[in-house]
Amino acid sequence: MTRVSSIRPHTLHWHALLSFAGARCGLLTNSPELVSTLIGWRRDDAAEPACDFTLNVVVDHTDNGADRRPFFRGLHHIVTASFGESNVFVFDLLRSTVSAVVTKTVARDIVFWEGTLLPLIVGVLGAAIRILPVHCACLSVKGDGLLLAGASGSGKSTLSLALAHHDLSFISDDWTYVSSVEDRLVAHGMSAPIKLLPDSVQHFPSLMSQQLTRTLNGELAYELHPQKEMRLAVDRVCQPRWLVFPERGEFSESALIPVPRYHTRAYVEANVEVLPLQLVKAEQERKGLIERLAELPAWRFRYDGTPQFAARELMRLLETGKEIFA
Amino acid sequence: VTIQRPGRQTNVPDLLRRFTRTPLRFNFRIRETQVLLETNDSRLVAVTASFGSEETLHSGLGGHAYKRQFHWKLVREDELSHDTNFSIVVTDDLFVVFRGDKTVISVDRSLGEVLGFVAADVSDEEMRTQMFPLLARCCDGASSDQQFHV
Repeated sequence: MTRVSSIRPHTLHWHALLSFAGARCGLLTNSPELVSTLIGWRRDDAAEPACDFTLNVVVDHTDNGADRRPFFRGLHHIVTASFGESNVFVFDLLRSTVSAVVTKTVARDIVFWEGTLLPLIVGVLGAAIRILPVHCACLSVKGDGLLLAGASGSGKSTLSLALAHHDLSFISDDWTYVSSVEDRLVAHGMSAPIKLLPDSVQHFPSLMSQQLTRTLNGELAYELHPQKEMRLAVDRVCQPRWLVFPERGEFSESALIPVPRYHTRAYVEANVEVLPLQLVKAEQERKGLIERLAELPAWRFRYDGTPQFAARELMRLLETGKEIFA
Repeated sequence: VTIQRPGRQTNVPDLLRRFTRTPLRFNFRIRETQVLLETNDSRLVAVTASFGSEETLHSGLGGHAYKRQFHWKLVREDELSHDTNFSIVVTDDLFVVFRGDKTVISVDRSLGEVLGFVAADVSDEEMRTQMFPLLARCCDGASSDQQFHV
C-alpha cells in the first residue's frame, strides 16, 4: 500500500507567521499542536503578512515512528531531507517553499525543531531567501557581534562558552546566519544547542554530569541548550563587527594578527554549499553577502592555553580597545 | 546513448550529492512525452530500453510531435535501503516519490523535471514494473490516490 500525503495549502487550516534568522515564514499546517510548539518563533510584526518562504507541514496522526535516521539529497532546485521514513522535508528553492510530513511526536518536539529542523530549514533554504550560513560561533557585546570562525575542532565552541562566562551574550556556537537588513549586516542565531566534543570535559568539569549524544554527523558530543541547560545569557541577533579566527599553538604570547579580506572570503566560500546552475540568482546575491562579510575587520587570534585563558586574553584585548575596538 | 563529461571545480564537499556525474544520456518517449534521461547508471538506461518494449517508449527523437518534454536526472546510489515502503508527497507543484529511506525522486511538472536518487538495491525489475510506470503517471499529472499505487 502506497502512503500518499497531500500537502496543499488550501487544506491546511492552521496558520502562523514566524521568523527564523530574520526570514519571515508563513506556516500552514493541519496541526494546532505544531503551531503551539513553534510559538516562540512567532513574528513580532505579524501585521506585515509578506513572507520570505512558506512552510507547509502535515502532521501524520497515524504514525509515531521513532526512527530518525537522517538522509539528505539534492538536485537542481529540489532538496529532500528525511528522518526515518515518517518525517520527510522537501525544499523547493525556486519557489521558496518547504513541504513536510512529520509524526505527531516530532510535531511536539521543540528540542528537535530548534536543534535540528529549524537550522536545517534556514541552512538549506538560505541562499533562496538571502541568508548566508557562516560556519562560526557568534557572541554579542551589547548588540555588537564577535564572530569566531574556524574548522570543526578548532575550539570555537569551547572558546565561545568561555567567553559567554565573561558577560558576552551567546548567539551561536557552530553556524551563524547572516543577512542584510536596510543595508547593514545582521547576524542571527537559531537557539541550536552548543555542541561540545567529549574532551571538553577537561576544561568544563560540570559536563561530567551530562550525557553524550550522537550528533547528526555521527560524532559523539555533548549537546546542551545554552539558556536552559548552560544558564548563559542568550541573544538571537546582533550586528557583526569583528571576525576572529582562533589559532591555538605554541605561541609565546597571545596576539591578534590582521588577516586580509581574501582570507575571510575564502573561508566563508569553503564552508557554504556549492549551488547548482539553476540557482544562479541566489548565487549572485550570496556572493554579495560574502563580500560584505569579508569587509569586516578580521584577525587570527593566536594563543596557547585553555579556553578560559583564551577568553581572558581576548577580553583583555577587547578591553584595551587597541585592536578590536579601534 | 551519449556520454558527457561535465566537471565541477571546487573542494567544498558535495553533501547532497548534487554534483554526482551523470554522463549517460538517452532519449526516449512515453506516449506523447519526450524524455531525456541523464544518469550515472547504465542499468537504468537498459531498463528504460526494456520499458520501451511495451510500446510506450521509443528510442530517439525521430521527428515526432510531442506534447511535453521532460528531463529525467536519476542518480544511482551506492547505499542500500533499510526498508522498501512506498510513499508519495503531493504538493501544488511537485510529486515526490519515496521508496524506503534511500530512494527519492521528485517530479516537477511545470518545469518538466524528474530528479532523484535510486538506492543500490532497487532492482531492474522494480524500476521497470513499479517505479517507471509510477513516474510516468506523475508526469502525466496523476491526481487520484488510485493512480499512485504501485
